[in-house]
Amino acid sequence: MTSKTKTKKPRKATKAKPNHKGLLIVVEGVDGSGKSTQLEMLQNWLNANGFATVKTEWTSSETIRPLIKKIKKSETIVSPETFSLLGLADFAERYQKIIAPALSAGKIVLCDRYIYTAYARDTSRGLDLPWVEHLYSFAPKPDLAFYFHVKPEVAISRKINMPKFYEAGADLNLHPNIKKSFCIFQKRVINAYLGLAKKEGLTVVDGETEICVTFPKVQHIVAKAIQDKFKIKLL
Amino acid sequence: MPTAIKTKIRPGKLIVIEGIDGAGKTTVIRKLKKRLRSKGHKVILSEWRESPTIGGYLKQLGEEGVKLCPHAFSALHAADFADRVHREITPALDRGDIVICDRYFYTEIVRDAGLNMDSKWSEGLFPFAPKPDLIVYIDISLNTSLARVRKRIKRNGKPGSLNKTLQNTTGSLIGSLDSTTGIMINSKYTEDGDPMTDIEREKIKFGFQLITRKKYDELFKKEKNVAQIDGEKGRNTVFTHSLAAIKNALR
Repeated sequence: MTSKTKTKKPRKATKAKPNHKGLLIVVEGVDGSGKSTQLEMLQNWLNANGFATVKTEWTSSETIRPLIKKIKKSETIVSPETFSLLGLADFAERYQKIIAPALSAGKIVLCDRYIYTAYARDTSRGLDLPWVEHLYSFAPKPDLAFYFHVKPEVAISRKINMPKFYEAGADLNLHPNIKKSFCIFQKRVINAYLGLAKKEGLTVVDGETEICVTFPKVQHIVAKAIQDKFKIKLL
Repeated sequence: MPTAIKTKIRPGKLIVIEGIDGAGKTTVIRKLKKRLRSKGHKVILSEWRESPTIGGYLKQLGEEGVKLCPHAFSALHAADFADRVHREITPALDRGDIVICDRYFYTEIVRDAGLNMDSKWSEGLFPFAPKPDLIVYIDISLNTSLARVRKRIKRNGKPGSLNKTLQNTTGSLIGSLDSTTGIMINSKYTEDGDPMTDIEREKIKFGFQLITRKKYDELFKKEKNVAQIDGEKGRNTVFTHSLAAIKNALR
């Protein structure tokens, strides 16, 4: 068995440039950063301009989602590795059944969270980044990746409901108080995102600024990518 | 964290039993467990696809005939394995028990190879797994494997009663094939909708086992703690040889 040597020398995370016919656009960021809202606006805009779009959200596969939901709801504590691999199973299903077919059909695929969510969350649970990168190595890099950044205080202040167990990182024994645990975990995830944004060259969008200011910028970047890929002028 | 698990020296002993379908793993494990317990050892058994959190769901998917894509299938089995490492295997090793694993992550790697997946990917999934003190690899020929599986299917019901057969071949490679590639090994029809004969079914099975056996060979050549046992010999011989290897590992 070579796993020992394999894991000591993790493969390089850099992936080949996307060579699919379609366009893969992803948004990343913690809850309350405004990413989902802007992705929806983006989809409406693209659809109105006659583009075929497909949207997919994190842990939304038909086959794996029920299991993840059950574990989260029942607050069953699983190890970070287990939790990570469950997220991977869900992603693999969506990648094979939704993302890849749409990309080869030349569609625009909009992902509400992509591999960077796993990178940020799993490393915040103490796992090694090279391992997590390896898990997702079958997935292509997106054509465009937006990271919606908000400061931890802002993300926390935008959270109205009681944080859920895994959302708060309560599986990690960070703090007996779930709200405090949530704050600690959010900080970790945001820090991880910041590191990733730099390393992976994600486009940082200020999630604290009004949408009417940031959305046109997002549109502009998307329009340019569309022009490069499909030779169609949008703006 | 994976590295911590890997390097930590634990008082228990980890014994892994591997081999293709029909090798006689379950039979020898039953005897080994009994013998070791009678000698006063604390023994726990951890079986493939049997975690309390994920195992049931995996079986349910199989019963419902849900097809997972190969990567998802592997990831879900790896999650099941990770859950058992966390819940059963590591705690028992920490207590100083003997842990016998009916299949280990090698099963996943050889299965993935059988499905022509990228082996580098599969081999990199398991850095968190504790290193076995001994791998008992029961090797049998493909013909023996097929003959035994055929017998098992006969005993457990006709190919029509797929679920029963799948359940009885715990974590079996038949089941894996079934829900990943879409090659319905136990189904009545081929992908084109033509009736599938037993011979066709066995052809697929044969091709798959051929690759997995080769992959086992390749994996275990690189490992140090492997006792390769000839599974063609009678079950008593397989038992005696396995027991001798374990005694040696316990020393």
